[in-house]
Amino acid sequence: MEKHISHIAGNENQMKEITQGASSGNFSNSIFKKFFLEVSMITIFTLRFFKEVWKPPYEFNELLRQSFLIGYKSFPLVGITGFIIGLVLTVQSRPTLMKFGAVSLLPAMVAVSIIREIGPAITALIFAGKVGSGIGAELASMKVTEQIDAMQVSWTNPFKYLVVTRVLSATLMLPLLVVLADAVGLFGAYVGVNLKGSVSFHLFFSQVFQSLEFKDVFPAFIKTFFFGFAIAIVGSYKGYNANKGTEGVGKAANSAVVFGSLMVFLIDVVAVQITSLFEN
Amino acid sequence: MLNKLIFSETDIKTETDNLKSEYVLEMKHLKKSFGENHVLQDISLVLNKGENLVILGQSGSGKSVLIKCIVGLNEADEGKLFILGNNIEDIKAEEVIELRKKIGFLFQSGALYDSMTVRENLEFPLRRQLHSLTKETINSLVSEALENVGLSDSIDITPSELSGGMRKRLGLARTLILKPEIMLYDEPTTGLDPITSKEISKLIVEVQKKYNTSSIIITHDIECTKLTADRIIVLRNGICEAEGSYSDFENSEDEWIKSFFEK
Amino acid sequence: MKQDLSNKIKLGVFVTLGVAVFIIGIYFVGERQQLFRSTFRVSGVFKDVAGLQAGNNVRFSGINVGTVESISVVSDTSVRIEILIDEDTRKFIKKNAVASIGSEGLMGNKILIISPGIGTKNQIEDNDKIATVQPVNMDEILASLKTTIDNTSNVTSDLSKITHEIQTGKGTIGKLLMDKSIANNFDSTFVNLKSGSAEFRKLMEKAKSSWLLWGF
Repeated sequence: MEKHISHIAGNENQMKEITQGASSGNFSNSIFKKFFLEVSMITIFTLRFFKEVWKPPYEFNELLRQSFLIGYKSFPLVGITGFIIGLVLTVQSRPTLMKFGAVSLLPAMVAVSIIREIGPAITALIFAGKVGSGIGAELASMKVTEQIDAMQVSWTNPFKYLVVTRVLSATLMLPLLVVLADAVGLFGAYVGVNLKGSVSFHLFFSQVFQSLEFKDVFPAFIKTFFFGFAIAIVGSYKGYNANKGTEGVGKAANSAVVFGSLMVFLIDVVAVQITSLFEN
Repeated sequence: MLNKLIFSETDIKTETDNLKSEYVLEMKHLKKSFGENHVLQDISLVLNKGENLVILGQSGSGKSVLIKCIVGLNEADEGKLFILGNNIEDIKAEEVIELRKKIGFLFQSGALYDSMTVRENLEFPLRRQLHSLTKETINSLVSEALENVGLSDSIDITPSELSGGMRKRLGLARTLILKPEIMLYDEPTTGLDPITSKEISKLIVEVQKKYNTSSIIITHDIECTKLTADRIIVLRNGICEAEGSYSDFENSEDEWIKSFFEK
Repeated sequence: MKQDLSNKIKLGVFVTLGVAVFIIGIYFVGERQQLFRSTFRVSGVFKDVAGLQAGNNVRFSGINVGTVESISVVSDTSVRIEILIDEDTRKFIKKNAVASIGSEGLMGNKILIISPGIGTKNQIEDNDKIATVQPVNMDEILASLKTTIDNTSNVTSDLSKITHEIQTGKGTIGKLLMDKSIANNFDSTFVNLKSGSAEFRKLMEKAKSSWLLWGF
């Protein structure tokens, strides 16, 4: 396994050969080759994470530092987004509910939307934009300036020190961020309800919790772990395997966001299917 | 006099003794290729104790790959590598790591950790490798390392605030803090102005005298070679083309070497 | 190092806050589902539960007091439901209470309604079987609504016939309303009355000035 990993990880030139093949004519064939090579490399990268995460020494201090940077530092952005989404969703839903004379269902409807989907998805996308690109750019610039190599010759496992800590932090921090974003989003919804109507906080609160069930809360909560994991793995992979040069850094940051967001939606689709399996 | 074919006699001698080497570092018939690109075709060289060996070559001649093979950043495809007398294929992986810990590597760009301050950069290898150090020891080692490279007053700033020359010095300090027996310099003067290059070259010689390290310096800078080299090996197309002292090369009749050394 | 410590404290606050919000949320969601309260279980058998589902609310005097725990088919004519009721309301529910199925508004969720029993003083006990009233099915309501609508349409068609006849002046009321000659008669009568009353006023004026009637 070890040999295999180092073999593939060191094979940037394999990528290059295939890319060159693309320009020399056999276009569709190389695109597929490139895609499958990418898939296999990211799979190996993920497997390597699971292998290294159990092995001591544990980089506990770095994990805390990353959690601070990834979790705490993202909260203001995620909080503001959550508040605005809660408010806007409420204001936008009001006219439709008014047509059916069901304005009193507004808190319940908004609560279910926020908890089940909007909260996790929006937070994960914001997270992909902030943390995913951050990880991608940081690791890529470390790679380009040989900091990763330097770490290796300091006999620190750079994969463990850089990738494992970041992926773990993101996996643990995103669910917390989503919980807080949900709470702030519900507060935004409360403000939204009261912009054009008058609902006491107590009534709003009891209507929200009246409408929520465990089957709304838990699947939505569990999928956020996968969101966080996927975003950080994609970001780390893109950074860790960045090409030399400053262009590589930009590319890594960019594709970290693009593929991170894409992964969020893919996981979301799978999650919704699994959830609906259990609901019936 | 330039030796065009080096290692003819050492080859015969070590053929009988593949387990040990009396040199600090020895490479035998090392080969490394990336796909179709044969970077190192057949490299054999030795490093004597307390010696500054300069490896000269054009960009892309495989110089960096050569020293990266020594520390394990690249794995050689074929050939033997002896570190401090031990063939790394014959000993356990943990022992190889212990041996390689005695090698210091100065990267081309300094490879300073951007997210850490100067002090944390220096503490990092210490904390990583010598776990039982007290705070006082670490502090004294850090200030000693900074004094060695003349950077004592910039301890709490981040590397991004440092100039290119200072970054190189800091990188050197970080490498030296573990008191390595072998130093590998990857293009130590690239990207620096002539005056700073000279300073760094002098620093390399100072370090070698102070700690009695054995060094391999990879460069294409003739000025740096002149200042630091005890012995020079010229690399061309993945093989050792020639070996000798600076004056040997300066007076060489070979056209290619002449063009290399001409200013 | 100091910076490091304060960062760790901030992270600690952040994590504590997140976990606390999560636990509080879970508590309130769970409380609605009666998970963290002491409850007791009773059952009832219906012929048809009309779309009641596990998890639907149980109401007593209009208050939510529990949830439907499970629904299972016992035989081809009976469905057994198990319900969990809040322990606090046990003292108000008697042994002869009756369960029925209703709904929250016209399109809302189904709910189970427990009507308090009358007369007896014995409280309901754990695993008691509660009496049930068959729910009124929407289809039945629609069927009965249909006869009502049929009847109504008969009535309206009769009514329209009548109004038609009135319009064309048939029948007494029709004549009364539609015959113009009657109106003309009325007219001339009023003209006569008018001139009659004018004469009468003149007479009265004369009478006023007459000394015989002085003092009136």
